[in-house]
This record gives sequence, structure tokens and C-alpha cells, in this order.
Amino acid sequence: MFAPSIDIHDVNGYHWVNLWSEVVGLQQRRGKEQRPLMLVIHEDGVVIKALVGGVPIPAGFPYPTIDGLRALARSHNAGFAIGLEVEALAKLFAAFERPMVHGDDFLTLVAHVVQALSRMSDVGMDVTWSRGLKALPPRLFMDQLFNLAFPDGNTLALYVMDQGKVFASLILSKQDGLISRISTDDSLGAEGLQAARWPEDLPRLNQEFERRFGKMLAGIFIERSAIQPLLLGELPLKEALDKKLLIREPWPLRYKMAEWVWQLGWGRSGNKAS
Amino acid sequence: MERSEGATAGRRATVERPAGPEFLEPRVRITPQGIEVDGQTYPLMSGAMHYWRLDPERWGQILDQVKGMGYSVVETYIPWSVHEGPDGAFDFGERRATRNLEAFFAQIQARDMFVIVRPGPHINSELTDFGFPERVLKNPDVQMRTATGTVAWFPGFPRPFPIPSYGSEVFYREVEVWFDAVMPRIAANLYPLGPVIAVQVDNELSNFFRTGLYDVDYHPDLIPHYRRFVLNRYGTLAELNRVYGLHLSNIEGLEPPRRYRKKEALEYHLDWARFQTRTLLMAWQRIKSQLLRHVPVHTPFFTNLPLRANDFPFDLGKIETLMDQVGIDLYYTRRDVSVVGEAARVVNARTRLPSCPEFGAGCFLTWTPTTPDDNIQTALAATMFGVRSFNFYMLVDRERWYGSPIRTDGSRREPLATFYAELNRLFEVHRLHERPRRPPAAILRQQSLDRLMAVGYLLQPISPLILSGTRQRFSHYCREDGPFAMLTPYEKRMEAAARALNTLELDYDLGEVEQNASLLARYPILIAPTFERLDAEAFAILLARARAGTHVVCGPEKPLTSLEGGKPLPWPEGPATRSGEGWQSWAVGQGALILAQTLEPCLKALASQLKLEPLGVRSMTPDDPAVPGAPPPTGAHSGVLAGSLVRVEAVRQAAYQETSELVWILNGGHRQELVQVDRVASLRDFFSQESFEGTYGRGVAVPMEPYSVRVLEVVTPVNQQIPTLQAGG
Repeated sequence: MFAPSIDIHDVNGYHWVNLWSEVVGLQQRRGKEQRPLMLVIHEDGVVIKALVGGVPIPAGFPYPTIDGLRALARSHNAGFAIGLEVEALAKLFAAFERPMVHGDDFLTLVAHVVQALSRMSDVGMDVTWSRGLKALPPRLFMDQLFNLAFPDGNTLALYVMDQGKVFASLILSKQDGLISRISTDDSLGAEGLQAARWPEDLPRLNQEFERRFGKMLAGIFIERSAIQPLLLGELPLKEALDKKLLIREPWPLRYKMAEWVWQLGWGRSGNKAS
Repeated sequence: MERSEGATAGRRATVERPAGPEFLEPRVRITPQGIEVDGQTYPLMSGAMHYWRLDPERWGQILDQVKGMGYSVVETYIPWSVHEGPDGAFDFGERRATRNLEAFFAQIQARDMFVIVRPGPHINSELTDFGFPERVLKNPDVQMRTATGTVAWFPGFPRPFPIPSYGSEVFYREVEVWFDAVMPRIAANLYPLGPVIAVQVDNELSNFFRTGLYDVDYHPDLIPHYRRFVLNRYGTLAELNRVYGLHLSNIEGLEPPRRYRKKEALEYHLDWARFQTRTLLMAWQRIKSQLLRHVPVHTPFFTNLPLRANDFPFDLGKIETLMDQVGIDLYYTRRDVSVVGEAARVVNARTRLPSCPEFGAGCFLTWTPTTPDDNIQTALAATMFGVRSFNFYMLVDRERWYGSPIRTDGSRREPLATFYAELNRLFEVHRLHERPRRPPAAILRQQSLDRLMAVGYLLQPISPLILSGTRQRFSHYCREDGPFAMLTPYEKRMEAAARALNTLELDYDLGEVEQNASLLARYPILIAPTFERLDAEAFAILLARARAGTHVVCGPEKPLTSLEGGKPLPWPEGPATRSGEGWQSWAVGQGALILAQTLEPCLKALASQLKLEPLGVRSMTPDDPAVPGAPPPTGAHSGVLAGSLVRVEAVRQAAYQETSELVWILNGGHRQELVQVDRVASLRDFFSQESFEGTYGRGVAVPMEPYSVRVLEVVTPVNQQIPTLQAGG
């Protein structure tokens, strides 16, 4: 996914912090009760350690079945439980480290981890999630999908605006199938987004992107206040676009087509199912 | 000058090697105050600048800017993978000007500045593969092995890489190739020939942060070392068989443990833990000896430990016997000012020159993002609790980094540029480097219990370093049966000690029983958690300290027998010579061994006996149970972490002029606090220049922002302020 020689330049620290906190903080701001994790570690069929949110509860009882584990989690108001045989994590690590070869990228590591987790019961690990983990699609398919969505020689930009100021920005470029450059608005210097003239400033900004980084594939400019309602489905996409809380410029045909496919079926059925 | 031919055939690099009279005597020394150059001591304050990542045309301009901020020392890594090309040939400027190390040295020297070099071999530096050439990492003989026999990987950005084993003989042969190429260039630039004043031995040596006892390193080259180690420990195979409960006919039959099993002897596992510590020491020793093939023996050497590396498998005391300086790297946000304070308490207790060889200035993308406020408040917290030497990493911006005080074009980035210049001025005005923080008490960890914790840790191979950053009590993730039952009380006791000292407004450090004895001798009070079984060596140290005049507070249980073998421990016989509420004291030599079930009354009595003055700094903001002021209690694994148990902490230190003092206040909570400072009439914030006036006899009230630190100069001590006669009074 990332080029070994990736160029990370002119990153605005505040933008990075803001982006991070916006993503990480999203869950907390949903206002839902954060239920703790239950961890149950067993050896020779007996629970030797049980923790809820990092606090021990009495152990020493026989390790239950997965339904028993689920019931145990419910009885302690835990969000979900993870059951671990004492050697489970070592086996899990071995399962995803064994197939690695030097030169494999981060995504390959993630794929191996997911692959190992999809067979977690083989290593002595149980999780009481309602839906089990599925193995990732083949790497070749993922690479092709990635290349299709983000062709080489293109740049993507994401800007988050807050009360007339640039709250966060992220600019990604891709070469040879890998993300080759990460930057923020700082890389444009004085030619960066003129917040006072947003959104009228966008055509000029996109020209600047093209001049510096080559072809501009897509630009997403979003008001900070719209992120959460949009992601949680409280604000319809059309309304956000109409009110210019979200501006997509440029927005290529391939993304529009993906959107139509989503609207036609997959997305809706997925939403309903969830 | 001698001629030295470095490098292997095919990549020869003939370089001048210094051997002249200027190297017969050391001209540079690291001292507890900083760095001594030609007899003159300077605070060791430096900033990182990576020459190969900057335009050589800008080097001079950037160095001028660094010097303008008051820093006369820069620090740089020297990356193996950058200088060694894919064809195996080294480039030190012959092909690319950015790699011209000696031209960089020349620019530094031309400005009467100095440089600290870090040639690795591991340098991290956010480089792909952490600065190792691909051909080295790909070699199966070099790769580190896990307990399950697989190659150990580091999930580095932008790509993971197989971890090199510091037990591999092939690895050291490769390191020699690199050192043969680079070290003659460094040697030729050692002061006074050039600007190099210190050399770092590797970087954050810790099996690449994989410090789980049953995780790595099971490299085949290390196994014979392990066998020799345990055989030496027991003298004979028969004794080893007896202790381990084995029937080995020869030592080659002994395999290291790959997980804990109850039926096996605990000593078998504790010895593996001992060996893990030993392997790290062996690695430092080996790399240093490789460096010493090129530079004089008195060259100042130092090393850095990763953050939270203050217990197993790190033995700071022993590492410091190999180095002139050892420090802990710190990268935190201001929400963790208390944790930074605790790390500073550790280095202040356990190292000669309390230092942070890397202290976050700006940040890298794959870490918790930081702002300039984070960099500023955490630097102040470190200074508050005793750090007296910093290398700000990075003082100069570069790719894969953001937020440094000097940009790649040489311009200043505010407010950090001004802050770091002012911090330098704080050291200069108040001679901080000559004024170590000397609290009256130290709370002590014990290596034996830390090893026990490593054996009992249940989330192997997830690195304990990661878990200790999660604000949870480490012992909660350990076994709790048999000997492991004392782990939670061990952590709780240290937390209780910190709480009691805070309540009594007594400052303290975080030490270790087995640390450098002369540093331990500085504290009139030592507090060590003890249980019925205690490591015999630890008890001997505590007893020796008591005999030498220290008040050693043990408990909650009286140590009766040794942890290994159950031999009786020589606790003083007869009735206690003094006692109080929940404590008894036995006079031993010039000091005392004290057994305290509850700490606060005991420490109160000691403070009175030793005439220790309380800090006289406390929060005036009432507690509100609905709005917790401090983050939840954190795990004792990374120290005592008592800073997280209280909102407001303080340090008072006599200032340079003796007539006055510096008062440091830390608010580790997430709300504003109003803090009262006693025994002063007016204070001035060194950085903001805000003034705070008090009422005669009542001290001064100082507002504190959440997660912040103030450095206050006492403008008027209370005894110098004369109350004015009020009209009609």
C-alpha cells in the first residue's frame, strides 16, 4: 500500500492531530455507553485470569463454551469477551508471522493477521462478536481494486473546514501501485487553501494541486460539523451536497459509478442488515 | 596519524585514523552536570538534525539557526542503509552531496559547534527497515527467532521487516563492515580534530520493543550463551539439575523455556529472565567493543532506552557501567505530563546524568499526534522532575516528520523555536545543570519481582512495553497463583507509597533496589515493598543502606526468607527500638530498618525526625467526585505512576542566586486548578512572565491550566516582605 521510499513532507502537525482526533473521537462522541471488554485466560480447561475493563474478577472456574462466555460477558455488562488459551496469542503471532517475507507491505501483514484471526479457534482463541471474522479477498483482487479506485500518477485531497478555517488536510499521491507521498495543505505554501474564500477558491486550489502533484483524481472538502451526521446516517448525502457542507471537486466518473452501485443495492441492503 | 584501511574487499575506504598526542588524554567527558570540554562544563542540550535529509546548501543556514537558539550541539544518526548502496559500495559524498558526512562535520566545526553521532547499527529514524540494508535483513542467519521458531517481525512503517538478532554472529560481522566504513570518518573528526564529542551505542536496544519473556530471542547462536550462563550461575551441572529438578547428563541437553509451566522449577524461568537482561547487556558490550576498534577508549559513549523501559529486561545500573550516559526517550502528549514526570523521576534516581537522548520536538506520523503545546508541557514536566540533559528530536524538520522548531529551509517555526531558546535560557540563568533535583525519598522497584512479573505475564507475546502504556495495572495481566500472588500487592504498595508522600507534600524519586549504590545513597528515606519472601541480594542491599545511615521502610510484610531457596534473612533480632501507629523501627548501624504496615504515619514520623519541610504547594480547588481531575490510576509497570493518582504536584528548588528559589507546579488533571504556594509573597512565571502576588503570611495563588506545568521564580520570599501599616491600624 505504501511505497518503501514514501515521501512524507510538509505535514501540518495540527492538521494531523485534528484528523486523528476526529476519527478516534468519533466513537466517543456518539454518546453511546462504552461497554468494557472482558478477557478470559484459561489453562488446562480452567480460567486462571478474568478481567473486565482491565479489572480482575474472581477466576478459577472451568472455561465455558462460547455461549457460556457470552453469558458471562453479559452478566458483567461487558461489550464482548475474548477467551484465550495461555498459548493462543503466541500461536496467533506465529500464524501471521510465518508467511511473511521481506518486502511484504503493511497491507500484506494486515491480510495475514485477518487470515490468522479467521481461524482463531484453531489457536485457542474465542471471541463473542455476533459476526465472525471473514478472511480478506485475495491480495491480487485488493491490489486491482486499489489501482482502479486510485490509479497511478494521481492525487487525492481531503480537507476538513471548521468555522471558516482549515481544520485538517491530507494529500495523497500514488505511483507504481503504492502511495508514494503523504502531505497536507502546508505543501502548497502560500498557495494553499484560502479559507476566507472557500469554496470559491477551490478551482484555483485544484489547479495548484495539478501543477505540483500531477493529475488530481478527487478532492473532498467537508465541514467538520457534517462529518459525524454524515457517517452516522443522520445527514443524507444529498442534503450535505446541496447545502455545500460537502463539496467533491473533482469527482471522477468511477467514483460516481461506485456510488450508484452502492445506492442501487449493496449499501442499502448492508445498512438494513446492520 | 595512522592509516587505517576499513571495509571489506571491494569496498575499501582508506581514511585517516587519529592517533596523535591530542588523543592520549580525554578532552571531552560526560559528567553528572553535562559535558566537559577542555575542562569547561556545559549543559548537554542538543537537537537532532539529519544531514542526509536536508539540502547541503542549507546546512550552514540551519546550523546558524540552531546556534541562534542557544544550542551549540547537534545530534545526527548516520544511517547504514543510506550510505551503503544496493551494489554494496559506500557513498560518503562521492556520489551524492547529501551523504557527505565530513562536509557536514566541517560546517559544524566552522561554527564552533559540536556534534553527537549515532551510527547505529539500528537507528530507526522512521527510515524504511530502520536504517538496515535489505541484504542484511534478508539473511536468515541474521533474523531473530520467536519461541515458536518463526522469524520475528517488526510492523514498521511503511513496511514490516524481519528483526535482526543481536545474538547472531553473522549480524555482528555485517556490523563490522559498516563500522569499518563509517567509524574511521568519525574517528578522524573526534574533538579536537573535529566536532564529534560523543558516540551512541545502537539505538533503543530492546529486541525492537519485543520484551516479552517468551517471545524472542531464540536465535540458535544465543542458546550456547544461555547454557553457559546458567552453568556459571550454579557452578556444576549437578547443582543445576538439583535446582531445576532435571536429570541432564550434559548442558547441551538444556533448552530455554518457551512458556511458563507450573510443574517446572520457577528458577528455570527466572534464569531465562536473567539471561534476557544479560543478552541486552552483551549486545551493548559487543557493539561498543566494535566501535572501540576505531576510536579511543575514553570517547564518551551513551545509549538510549525506549520509553517505559525502566524495568525488566532493562538494568539501568548495569547499562551505565558500560556507558558514560544512559537515558530514556520520551514522546508524549500533554495529557501525559504526569507520566513524563514519572519517567523523569526514574532517570533522576537511577542515572548519573538524568537525560532524555530523544525528547519529542514535533512528531512522526505513526505515533500519537502531538502539538507544540504537547512538546512544551512535556519538556517542562521532564525538567521539573530532574532531567538535566535533552536531545530534542527533531530540532530540525525533515521528511517523515512534522512540527520541528526549525523548518527544512532554515526558517523558525513558532512557538516552539522561542520555547526551546527560552528553555536553554532557563538552564543558563538558573544553572539547572549544576543543580540536580534531590528529593528526600525514593520508592524502589525490585528486579526479582519484576522478573517474576515477566514470568507471570499472560499476554505473551504482546510486548509489555505496549501494555504499560495502556494505563492499566500490569500485575492484573499476570498469573496470581503461588509466588505470583505478591505481584498485585507489590504494585499497590508502590502506589500507596507515592500517595502517602504526596499527602505529606514530600518529593520523591522512583528508583530500584539494585541500582547504582552511590546514587541510592543520596536518599535519606528508601521505601521498598517487601513480603515474607524477598530476594536475598535485594535484602542485603537494603540492609547495607540502613547500616550506612538510610531509613529503609519495608513492608507490608516482614521479609523472613529468601525468594530463592527459602533461606532465612537476617532481619534484626530483638524488639523494635522505636514504634508508632502501624510501624516499628529497628536501629541498624547509623540508620534503621522500618517495618510499616501503613505508610503515612511512618513517613510522617520520619519527616519530623529528619526535619523535612513539606513542599507547601497544594490545590485549592475542591474535589468534585463527579468530575475526576486526574486520569484513572495507571499501571505500576512504568514506574509508580503516582503522578496520575494526584492532580497537582510540585517541586521546589533553590535557585542559582541562593537567596531565592524555583517552584515548579504540575497540573496532571483535565480541569483548571488554583494552586496555593506557601512561604512566598510573589512569584513570576519564567516563560510567560506573568506575576502572582500573595497576601502576607498566606502564600500565593497560581492558576493552572489542565495538563500543564509552570516554572515560577520566587521574586519575594515571604521573610523579605514587610507588611505595611494600614491607615487606622
